Amino acid sequence: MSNPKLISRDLTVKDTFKLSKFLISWEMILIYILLIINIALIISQPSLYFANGTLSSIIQSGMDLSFMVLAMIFVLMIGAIDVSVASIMIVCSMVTGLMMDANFPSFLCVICGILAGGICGIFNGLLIAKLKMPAVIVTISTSMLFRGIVKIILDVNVLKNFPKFYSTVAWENLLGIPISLIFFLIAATIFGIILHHSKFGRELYMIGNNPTTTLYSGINVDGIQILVFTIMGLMAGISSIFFVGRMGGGVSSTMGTGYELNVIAICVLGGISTNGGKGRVYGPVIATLIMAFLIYTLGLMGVDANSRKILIGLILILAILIPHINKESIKQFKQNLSGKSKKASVTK
Amino acid sequence: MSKQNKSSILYPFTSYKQFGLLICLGILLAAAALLTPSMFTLDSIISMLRNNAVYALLASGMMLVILTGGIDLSVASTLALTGVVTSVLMNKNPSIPAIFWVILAVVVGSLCGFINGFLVGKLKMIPLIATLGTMYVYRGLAFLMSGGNWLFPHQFTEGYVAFADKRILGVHSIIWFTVIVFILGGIFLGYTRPGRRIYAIGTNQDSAVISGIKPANIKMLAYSIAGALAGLAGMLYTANFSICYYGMGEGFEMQAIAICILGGVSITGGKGRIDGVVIGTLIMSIISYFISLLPGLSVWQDAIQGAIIIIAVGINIYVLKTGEKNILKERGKLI
Repeated sequence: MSNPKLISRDLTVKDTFKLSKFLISWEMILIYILLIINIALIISQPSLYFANGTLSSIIQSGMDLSFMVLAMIFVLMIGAIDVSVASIMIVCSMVTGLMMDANFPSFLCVICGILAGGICGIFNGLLIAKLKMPAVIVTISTSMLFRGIVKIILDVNVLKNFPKFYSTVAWENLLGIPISLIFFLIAATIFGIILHHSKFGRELYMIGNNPTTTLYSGINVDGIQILVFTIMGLMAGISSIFFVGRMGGGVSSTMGTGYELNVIAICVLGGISTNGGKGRVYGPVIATLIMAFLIYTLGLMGVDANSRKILIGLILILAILIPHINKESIKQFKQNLSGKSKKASVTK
Repeated sequence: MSKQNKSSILYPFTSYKQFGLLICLGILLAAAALLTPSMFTLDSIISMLRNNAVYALLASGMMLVILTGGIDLSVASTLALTGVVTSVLMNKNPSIPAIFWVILAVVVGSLCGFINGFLVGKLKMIPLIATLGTMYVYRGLAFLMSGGNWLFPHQFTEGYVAFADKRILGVHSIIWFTVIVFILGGIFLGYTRPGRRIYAIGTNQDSAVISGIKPANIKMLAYSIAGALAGLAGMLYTANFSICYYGMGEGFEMQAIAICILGGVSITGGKGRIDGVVIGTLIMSIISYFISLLPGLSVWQDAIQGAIIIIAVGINIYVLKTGEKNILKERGKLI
C-alpha cells in the first residue's frame, strides 16, 4: 500500500481485521441504534421494560414478516425487487385455511400452503427471467392478481380453521426465548451460509453487480433468477404460518397490506443495496429487531398506525440517502485531496 | 420495402404507431355494443368519461415520469394529500373563491412532486424506492391533515363542487380539464425544448448528458409536473365525488401505470406519446365499465386488472424485441 502506483491495482481479496473499521461498519451502527432504542425504552418505561414477557412480546411482534426479509435479501441482491410478497403470503394462508376446512391432515395443509407460495414465486420468476419483463411491474401486477384471486375465492368470508401449532410458534416461549426468534435465527444462519459461503451465494453477488458479465462467465442467470423468486415465494409461505398465528388464526382477503413495504424497508435499512450486489445477511437481521422495537415503542407512545407509516417511509428514504451521501462526500474529499496533491507536484 | 408500403392506400393508418391499440379499442367497443347496448347513450358515455378523468390526469403525469426512465408510485398518495388539504381548508374557509383551491392543489401537488424529483434527480435515488417511501409519507400526512375524519357532500361548497360538476357544452368540466391537459401535454412533449429533452434522457441518459442536457433538472421538472397533475386530480376527485378521506385513491398509481403501458409507453423510458395515453384511458375505462355492468364481476376487478397489465407489458416487450431484431436484420442486409 505504501507504493502509490499499486493503490489503483490493489487485488487483495480479504482485508485484515481492523477494530476501528469494524466499529463504524453499517451493521455495528444498526446495533448502536438498537441499543439506543432499548435505553430510551428503559428510561421512559422502566417498570414495563423489565416486566415479565415484555421483551419477548416485542420481539414476537416483529417476527411475522422476518422470514420474508431473509428471502428479500436474495431478491434485492440480484438487482430485482418483489412487491407481491404480502399477496403471496395471503394466498398461502388461504390455501392452508381452505384445505383445513376440507379436513385434510394439518401437516399436508401447511406443506401445500408453502408450495402454493413457491408456485406464485415461480410465476413471478418466469415472467421476469424468461420474458425479460421489469421486476417492478411484474410483481406489482401479480400482487394485484394474487390478492384479486384471494378476493374472488374468499369474497368477504374469513377463514378461521388453522393448525393448532400456528399460535404456539407465534406466541409461546421456549426457555424464555420466543420460539419464532429461534426459528428466525436458524433460518438466518442457513441464509447467511448460503449467501456468504456457497457458490450460489457468490453467483447472486455477481448477477447483482453485472448480469451480462455473469452470463458470459457461463452462469445460468435466468435459472438463478427463477430460483431466487421461488425461494421468495416459499419463504412468504413459511411467513404465513407466523402471520396467521399472530393474527389469532383468522384470514381475510384484505389482511397484510403494506407488508411488502416493511420488508423492503427493513432490507434497505439493513444495508442491502437496491441496485443489487451489495449487503450482508447480518444487517437485515438486526434491522428486523430494530423495526420491531421501533414500532412497539411508537405504539407505547400512542402514535397511531398511519403516522407510523410516515416514519417507515422516512426511514426507507434516509437509510438509502445517508450511505449514499457519505460515499459521495468521501469521493469528493478524495478528489479534492488528489487534486491538491497533483497541483502540489506540478508546482514542485 | 418502406416505399412499397407508402404507396398503399392504408399507409396513413398502418403507419400510425397506435394502430394496434385502435383496433383493440374497436373490438372492445363492438363487444360492448353486443353485450351491453345500454352503454351507448350520451349520458352513460359522459359519466364513464367523468369517472375516469382522474385516472387520465394521473396517467399523463405518470407518462412524463416513465419517459425519463423512472416510475412514480406516490401519485395516488399525492392525490389523497392534496385532496385532503384543499377540502379540509375549504370546509374551514367556505368564503374563499373556489379557483384558489385549484391553484393551491396544483402548488401542493407540484411541491410533493418536486420532493420526489429532488430525491431521484439530485440525490440519485432509485425512483422506485424514493417514491415508495414518499408514497407512505404523503399518505401519512394526509391522515394527519384530515385527523382521520371524513368530509361528506353537505360540507362541500357549491363553487368547489362546480369545478368538476358544472356542465360546459353538455360535458362536465372535469372532462374539459382532462382534454386541456392532454392538448397541453401533447404540445409540451412534441414542440418544446424541455419536452424533447425528457425523451432524450429516457432514450439514453449518457448521450443526453454529453449533448449538454442536465438530467437532474429535467427529472425534477417531470416529477413536479406529475405531482402537479396528481394535485389537480386530487382536488377534482374530491369535487367530483363530494367526499374526502385520507385513504382515497389507494391503488390509483397502478391504474395510471396500467394506462401508460396499455398506451404503448415503454417502461424502460424514451418511448410513448400522449395519444397513446388517451387511447389507453379509453380502453381502461371501457373495461372497468364492463366489470361494473356485468353482474358478479366486481370482485374480479383486481385480478383482471393485474392480468391486463402483465399481458400488456408482455406484448409491449415482445414488440420492442422483434423491432430490434428487424433493425439488426436490415443492417445485416446492408452490410
